[in-house]
Amino acid sequence: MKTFCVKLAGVPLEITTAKDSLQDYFADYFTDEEPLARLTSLADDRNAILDIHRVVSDALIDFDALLFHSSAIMYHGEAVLFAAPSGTGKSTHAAYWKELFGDEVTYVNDDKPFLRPLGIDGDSRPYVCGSPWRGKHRLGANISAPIRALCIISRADKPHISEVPALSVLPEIMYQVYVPDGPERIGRALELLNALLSGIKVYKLECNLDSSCAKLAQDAIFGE
Amino acid sequence: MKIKPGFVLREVMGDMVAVPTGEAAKTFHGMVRLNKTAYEIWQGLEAGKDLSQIASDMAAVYDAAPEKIEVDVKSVAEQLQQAGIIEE
Repeated sequence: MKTFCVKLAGVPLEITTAKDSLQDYFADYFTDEEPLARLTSLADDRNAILDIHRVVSDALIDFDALLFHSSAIMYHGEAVLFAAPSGTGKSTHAAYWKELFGDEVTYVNDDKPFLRPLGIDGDSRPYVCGSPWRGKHRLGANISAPIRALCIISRADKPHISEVPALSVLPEIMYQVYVPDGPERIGRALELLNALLSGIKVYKLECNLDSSCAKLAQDAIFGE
Repeated sequence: MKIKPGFVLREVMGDMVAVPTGEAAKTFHGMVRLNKTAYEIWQGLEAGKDLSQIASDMAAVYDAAPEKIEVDVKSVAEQLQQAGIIEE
């Protein structure tokens, strides 16, 4: 058994895990701060990292942080989230931004960032925060950024982007929200989702496998 | 005919969203999105009313023929039933 303290989505947590080697996975998030919750994962097999992920995501709901399956990048200090069913190409699209805009783009998290729809550290804008679960390419860092937009990605031959009412893509959005355990936490997750969607712009982005899609999206989201 | 117990409901961007927990989660996987009318029917079913009672209640509020409303109420109830959300 190993016990250590991490700060995730701005919340100090004490984690006890049956699998000692898991500690290394959290190295970027170690903290000396007094934990607000003490969590335990007894899984010690190859599913340990997923089990602790579930335990942490459930607990963070109590502190207004919501896990949202997406690829999150930061461009000039503001974040854009790309969400889509697995295999559609959200990571590929995020990679196009990196390819096109280089150092202007920083990965927050390529797979499972935490969102703080009510803000963080006295700033009430919706924020996205890094997490140790960074996807198969391990892209991301222990950083946070205010969210400017959420893009729902689908594949199409001809690239197109348009701002849409969140309600029109609600099923696509909800499919990427982590549903926690227990009615109270589920209710809270839905409230946080509502706060998020009230505070950011939502786009529908149809793209093919061409990096010029990133320019199209950047124009629409950051243009003017 | 009533809604299975265990749904958590919250308003998200103007629609009601229902997520199953406990008993309801055993037969229904996913989430339900209800517009204003569907939510009224849902509430009627939760309160134990039958379909014609729900329709006549709604006809008293909305300016529409009761027969037309009853058709809509039945259609929503059928969809909920097919999805495993309603129990007899």
